Amino acid sequence: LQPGTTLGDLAYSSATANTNTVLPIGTSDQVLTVSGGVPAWATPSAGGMTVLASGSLSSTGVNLSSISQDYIDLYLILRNMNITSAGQVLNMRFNNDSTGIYQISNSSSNGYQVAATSTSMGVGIGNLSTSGDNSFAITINDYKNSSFKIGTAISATVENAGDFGLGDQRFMMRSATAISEINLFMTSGNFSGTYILYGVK
Amino acid sequence: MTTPFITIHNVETGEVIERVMTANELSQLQADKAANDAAIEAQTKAEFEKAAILAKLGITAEEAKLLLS
Repeated sequence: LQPGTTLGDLAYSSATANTNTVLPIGTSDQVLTVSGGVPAWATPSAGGMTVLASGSLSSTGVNLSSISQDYIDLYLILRNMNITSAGQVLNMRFNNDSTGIYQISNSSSNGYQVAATSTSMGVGIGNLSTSGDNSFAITINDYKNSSFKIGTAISATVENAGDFGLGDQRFMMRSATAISEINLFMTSGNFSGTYILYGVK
Repeated sequence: MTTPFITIHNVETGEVIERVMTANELSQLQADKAANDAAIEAQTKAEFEKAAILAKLGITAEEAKLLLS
């Protein structure tokens, strides 16, 4: 093989005997792969996490609608979440579906038989005070599949009794419909804070 | 009472609107509130009953856990 004359060029054997083909150097961040039986530069497909939406929690409820179906999991972070009416729990449901298809565990009871007939899910330990910088990290796994949906919710909250709540919950939605909308709401007063929704590949 | 607002964030377009809840949404909110209130009441009642049983037995919650472990 004869070296190329341009910086970064590669030469490889072609199908014709004693004839080489030059592969010009690719662009930044491209990787060498094989296409049609010969070397080629290609841009790697994006992976990891992509921010789909971010904003402020306000009003009594926030609906994150028209969620892309191009990812495997969804990851929702709520930061500095606080409420104006004490003694409540953060409620969540999907696709604005308020039929009895949900179940969420409490922190100390994982892996048990459930009815999955709740009309929404109470995320966190509950009984929130109005003076918390509450944090929630909610993962919705395999959200576009055609079977039941599952996920986890981890939370750190300030409770009305002055205690702190560390929530470690699993949840399910007894529906085969892909999730395209997340509904977060309080049942009284408003909430505040910020949210970030990621798509995970 | 002020009519509650709801925020709709269209993830696809990035459009965010805040509007007054519709009659249907208000009705659902009232149903959700009733369900939450009932759950809290049931939890409070269960905790009260648990405390009463512990008092009757003359043991603490930690001792009861130890007993059942």
